[in-house]
Amino acid sequence: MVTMRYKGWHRRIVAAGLLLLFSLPVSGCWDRQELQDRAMLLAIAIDAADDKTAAEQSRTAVEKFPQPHGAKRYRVSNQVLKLGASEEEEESRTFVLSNTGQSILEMGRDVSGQISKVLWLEDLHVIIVSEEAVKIAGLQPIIDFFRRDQRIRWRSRLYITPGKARELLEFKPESGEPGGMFLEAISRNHPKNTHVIAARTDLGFIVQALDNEADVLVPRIEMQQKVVRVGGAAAFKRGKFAGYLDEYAVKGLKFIRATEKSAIIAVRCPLHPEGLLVFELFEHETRLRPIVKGEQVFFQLDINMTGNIGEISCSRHHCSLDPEYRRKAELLFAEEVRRNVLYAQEACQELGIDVLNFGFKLKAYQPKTWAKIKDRWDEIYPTVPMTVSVNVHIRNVGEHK
Amino acid sequence: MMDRLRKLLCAFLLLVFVLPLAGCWDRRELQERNLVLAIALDLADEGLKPGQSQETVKAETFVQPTGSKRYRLSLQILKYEAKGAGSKGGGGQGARKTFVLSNTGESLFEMVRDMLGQSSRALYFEHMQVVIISEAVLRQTNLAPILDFFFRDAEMRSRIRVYATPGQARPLLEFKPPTGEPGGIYLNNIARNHVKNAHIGTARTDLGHIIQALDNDADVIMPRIDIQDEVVKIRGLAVFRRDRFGGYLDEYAVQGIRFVRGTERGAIITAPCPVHPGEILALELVKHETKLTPHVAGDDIYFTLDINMTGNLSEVHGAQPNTYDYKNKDALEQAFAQEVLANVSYAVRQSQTVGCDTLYFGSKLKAHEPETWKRVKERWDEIYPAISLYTSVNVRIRNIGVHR
Repeated sequence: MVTMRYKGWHRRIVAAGLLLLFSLPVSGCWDRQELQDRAMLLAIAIDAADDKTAAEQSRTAVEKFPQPHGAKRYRVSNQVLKLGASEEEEESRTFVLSNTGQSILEMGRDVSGQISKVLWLEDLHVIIVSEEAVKIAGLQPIIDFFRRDQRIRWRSRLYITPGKARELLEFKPESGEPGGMFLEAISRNHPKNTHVIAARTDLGFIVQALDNEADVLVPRIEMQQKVVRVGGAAAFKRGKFAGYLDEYAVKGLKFIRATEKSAIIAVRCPLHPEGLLVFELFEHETRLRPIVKGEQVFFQLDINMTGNIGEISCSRHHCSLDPEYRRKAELLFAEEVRRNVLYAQEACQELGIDVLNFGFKLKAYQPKTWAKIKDRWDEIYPTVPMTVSVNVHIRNVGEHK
Repeated sequence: MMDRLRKLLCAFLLLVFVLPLAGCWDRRELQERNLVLAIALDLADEGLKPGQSQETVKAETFVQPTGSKRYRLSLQILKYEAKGAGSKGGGGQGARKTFVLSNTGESLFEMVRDMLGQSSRALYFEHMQVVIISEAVLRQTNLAPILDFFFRDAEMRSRIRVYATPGQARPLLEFKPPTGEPGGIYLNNIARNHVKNAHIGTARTDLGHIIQALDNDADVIMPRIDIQDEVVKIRGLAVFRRDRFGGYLDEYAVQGIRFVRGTERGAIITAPCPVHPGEILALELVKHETKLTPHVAGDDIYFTLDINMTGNLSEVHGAQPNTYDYKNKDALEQAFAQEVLANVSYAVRQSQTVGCDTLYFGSKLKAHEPETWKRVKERWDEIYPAISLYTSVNVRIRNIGVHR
């Protein structure tokens, strides 16, 4: 009888204990941080510290800290998302905080002295580095923090700007999106815009390239009078800024690397030189092979393209369905692609940046030759010839003859 | 064994049926698209934003291997997140519902694609409403080359409106309609009022009709749109000889042309009052029959036009407007008929002066007198300005409104 009563008491204690235990997780996360208590960084801009106008001097006097080591080399600006910002025309959905110093991480921590919330890096969309900043010590020291910190996503977008990077963070997109998201999303249109080199150029790919000691291209962004535009590329030779490639070179490069899904190719009309004949590319096959003959290394590029006629801006008396006319047009388009590709090759070789992946192709297909010449590759690369054969096929002429 | 197989099959089928429920794999949400509502075409050194200079628009353009920096193409894009007039209690006080991107180049297609470098979303042309071309562009080049992109591209609808403007085209894209509608939709909808506004020549002038005219080697007409101090108005027509810009016709000529073509449904005709000199009367047209017939007599080609109109007396000016005083209705009808006659001959004269066959004389001749057409079609451009039109107008006043 006594044991029975004891047993019931025991069971009740266990039940009460369990109830208490079960209620614990119901109270939620003990160290939670509400969304509105976080300062989401959408974009980071890195300028050279002395690259500022006199009007900004007084501002930057506060935006810094005494630094035991290093110099006031960079000015890092952070674009923070305003949560709950109304979407009225006047109001920006982000604000910008700046700091000067050398260590990006140190500046990031010191900038917390200017904001009431915790800085949150997981949603970082864009890193914009100004040409001035990248010329100081190359890309490597700037990018090191971003590749080491676990909060940074590899799909973040890196841009180089010839102007001031901070101004881009202050730009208010007319579409009403927060600035950083807008700047990142421009690059997503790259499959249809051959002037933007955004395929395989995000943070992850750039880190990979730097680790492999490869040359790398970074998309170029520019702002002039409230117009923001991505086009062209900044070229880096093992992390050192080498120069810019223009949109035409980028287009040629995309033909070689076949990273575009559609392209517009314009040539002069064979019958009416005042008009343009425009090709819209749909399908594209590319093959780049290294060929070694004795001491001579050269590359063979084969391009096969299929597409439609997209625009004929000359006489309306053209019959674009005429096979002979079509054949002529195909040859003209092929010639233009050839010219474009060779222009890109020349531009890359002039800067000495192997973004055509000649080196890798040679290493993969002709490892013995590579072993022989790899130490002299920097000298050899600018002189390596490429033969190009292009075949264009016009499949259709659009909705109107 | 059979049973198990059947169960397996059932389970498999269930799985297969589930697949389509997942939705479209390559969908693109509405808010991820940039819908282009209007396109404006200017010369490259025109259509700058306020405060922009030639040197500072480099960001809006690209390195171009073929062709020159000839045109400035501007796109008006719909903003999704803008709060409209509704949320502000009406009156168009809300945020602008569109924004404008520009680019310079020669191929329209190439410029459009390069503009993706300024846009965070893909550009969609399926909802395009209006194309506006500046006069400077039309004076420099023919119409067919600049419209070719719109003919050929599958995203372009035939019902897109095409306007010519004597000034710059881009300011029209930046115009903020007082109704709170997005700009492009507003500009397109003005044209829809053509049925009751005889001054708007927008009947059969949209992109599809222009393509048709160009394909048939016919003369093109296109509504003219003006903007001045935040006032936008469609007034008159831009006329072309084939696709070469020839000049403008004013609203009065447009009304006359529409009487000939019979494309209006309710016009207001004003005439001097036969009873009270110096005052005017207005007739509201409710029914209208028109017949244009070509005649050939030897080498002479002439046209006859028969117009039968029925309408209401809709406005009477005078000291004491009492309609019953007009004992002689015939005199009134005569006055209106005279006016229509004058209007039609004004329109014909204007059209013949610019050499644009706005009245379809050519196609009428081709249809009714094919033999003659064969003989004259080579010389049609010379013959057309000299062709005579004999008009007979008959107007009947049916009613006088709700007040005597």
